[in-house]
Amino acid sequence: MFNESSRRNFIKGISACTLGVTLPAFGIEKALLDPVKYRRAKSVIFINNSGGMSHLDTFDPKPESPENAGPLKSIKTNVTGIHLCETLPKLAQCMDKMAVIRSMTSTAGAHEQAQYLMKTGYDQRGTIRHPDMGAWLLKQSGWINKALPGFVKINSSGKSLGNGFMPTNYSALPINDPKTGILYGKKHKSITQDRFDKRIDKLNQLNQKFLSTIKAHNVKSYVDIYDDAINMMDSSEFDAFDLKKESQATRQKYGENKVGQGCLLARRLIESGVRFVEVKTKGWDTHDNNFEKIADLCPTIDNGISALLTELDERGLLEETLVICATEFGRTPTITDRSNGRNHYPKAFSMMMAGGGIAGGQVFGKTNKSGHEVTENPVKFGDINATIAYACGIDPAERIFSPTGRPFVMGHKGKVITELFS
Amino acid sequence: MKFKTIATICLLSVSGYASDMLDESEKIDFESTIYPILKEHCVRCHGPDQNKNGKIKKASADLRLDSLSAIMRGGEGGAVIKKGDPKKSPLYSLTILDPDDDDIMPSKGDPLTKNQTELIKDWILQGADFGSWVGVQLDKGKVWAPITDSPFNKTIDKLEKKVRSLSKTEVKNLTRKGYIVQPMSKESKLLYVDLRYSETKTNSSNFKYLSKVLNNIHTLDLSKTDVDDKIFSQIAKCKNLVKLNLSSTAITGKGVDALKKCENLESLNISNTKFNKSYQASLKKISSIKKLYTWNSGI
Repeated sequence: MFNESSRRNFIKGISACTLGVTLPAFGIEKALLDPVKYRRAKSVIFINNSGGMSHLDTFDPKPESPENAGPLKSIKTNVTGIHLCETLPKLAQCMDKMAVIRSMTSTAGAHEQAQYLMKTGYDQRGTIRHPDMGAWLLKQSGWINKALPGFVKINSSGKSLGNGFMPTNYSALPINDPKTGILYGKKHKSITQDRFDKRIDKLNQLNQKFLSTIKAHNVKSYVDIYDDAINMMDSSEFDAFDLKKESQATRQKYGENKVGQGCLLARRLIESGVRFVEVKTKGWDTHDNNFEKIADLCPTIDNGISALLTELDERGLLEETLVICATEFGRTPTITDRSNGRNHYPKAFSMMMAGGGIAGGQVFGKTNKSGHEVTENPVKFGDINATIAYACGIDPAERIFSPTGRPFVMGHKGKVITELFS
Repeated sequence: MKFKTIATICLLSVSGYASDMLDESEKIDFESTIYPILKEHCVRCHGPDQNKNGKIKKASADLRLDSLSAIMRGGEGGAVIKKGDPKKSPLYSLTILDPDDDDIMPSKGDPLTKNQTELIKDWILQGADFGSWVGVQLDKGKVWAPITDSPFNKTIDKLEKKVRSLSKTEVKNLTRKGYIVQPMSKESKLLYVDLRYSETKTNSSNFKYLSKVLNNIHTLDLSKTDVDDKIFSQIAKCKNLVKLNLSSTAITGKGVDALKKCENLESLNISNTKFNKSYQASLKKISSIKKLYTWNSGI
């Protein structure tokens, strides 16, 4: 009954047939080809500016509209013709590595729903919980380094671990504070390896009966977590979580705060073969005193992300690491009279992508003079999720089934923005 | 006319030579026979933008079926017609799915009747001729740039033609004990090889584990492994290597000139090594290299 052959298989071979004969006559020389070509990115670092980052005060400055720009000016970048807001001077010097998307648009204007949409590509529903991109990536590309978790969320409370309907082993390891890394990750001094092994053996014996009678997926994946944890404790890679291994100068370059140190930890984890790292930054919900808050917030991402991009690039890791800086929605271009703030604005906002095959030094999409409307190449979160899948060599049309057998695809049938790639 | 056509097709289908035996006069005319079906059942969603309660609704799946150029361009899933092959033409194949299938078209309302789907099938079998029909004239619009244009993909496409194909089992057998050996894409014959986290430590002497697929390797990551200068002569056998990562290894550069044999080597990473400055000249002679990463090396 169910026809497994994907849409993609239809395309294969068809193009040759229809292409040569008919298309040139209508002025379209190239039709859509197989959307998934070759893997570019091994790993992904997703910087999640939660609260809703104002596009006008960061990636989409509007000096031509002073009533909306407020006191902020735009500055030149190291790519001729592209300007960023003066709040991001260091990132402006990394513009040659970045693609800035100025035509993000969404209909979700509440934090929780919009964050959900950004991370999963799907609208939040009551009947199902969709997996985050990190879980998708792990499910479809697997672990690089089996000794470490494949998916890590930095600056996360651990409330949502992102596996959605997928088994627990695809959930993220939450790290509350990058400076402390993983707490209680080593055996206590007084416990010898021998004693430790005995204890684990006991635990396994106790579990044995339960596991052999109840053969459920979930039970198995909870037990697997123990094995993963022990693997990680014993691994020489465990040091990846320890920022003290970095020099003071490096730590300062990233910024001595949770954002900067989070970016540094992300770099260390990617170097050690972690597939997906989310770094959460907080405080972007600037309903009042927008410009004072922006003056505090922007330097954290400016220092953290510019150091990250520079270091990844010099180590040859940027080619294979997709770095994304996104937010759940933008903020009103109009400044509120009452509190000198900006309110939620999902209709038009910006984000940034770099590395992992992305061609740097480009701006994709446009907003109008005031920053209220997208006027060129609108992009939705589904498209971004599909584009991330593409960069990682995942077919955005390949279906994954929920436990109840419902089909889902990464990016919810979004369109891959192939223009972004080199 | 319409009835006659259907009757003819039914008759001929039985004999199994439908497309061969139909002469010019029995040919299904798109404009009078097929388009009315599309117009009634498909164009409501796969048509012009609609204004619904103030919201603009675009054509579903970015596919319009009311314009010749749009039909030929296809939708977000690609082309919808393969001439002469209805089974591979979504315009037909999606209409005959089980009514419970998520992908059945039309997705709203009743499925097409057997008569209607057979007409579409036979029209495709006959070569999907639109006659003089053009439909709505659309602006050329922007077609998504095909991915083959990128230099990265071009190199792969070029190499793809030169290498032997690998069986799935062959690739699978190499992927064990923490070795990551994967094709560059689902259908690719080129390999992406990452030996950083293999259970048995990789060094210059056990590299021959890959000896049978050396020509197929596109990307090779040996960073953090136990390889040393002896590895260069071995890597030189990877004729189609494009990316090589030797960072954080014991290499010093002795014998690096062997890499000249990798004519397609574009990216070389020797960061975090004791690479000796005296071998810098040899590196420069490898003219194919476009990106050289030397952070924290002797250079």
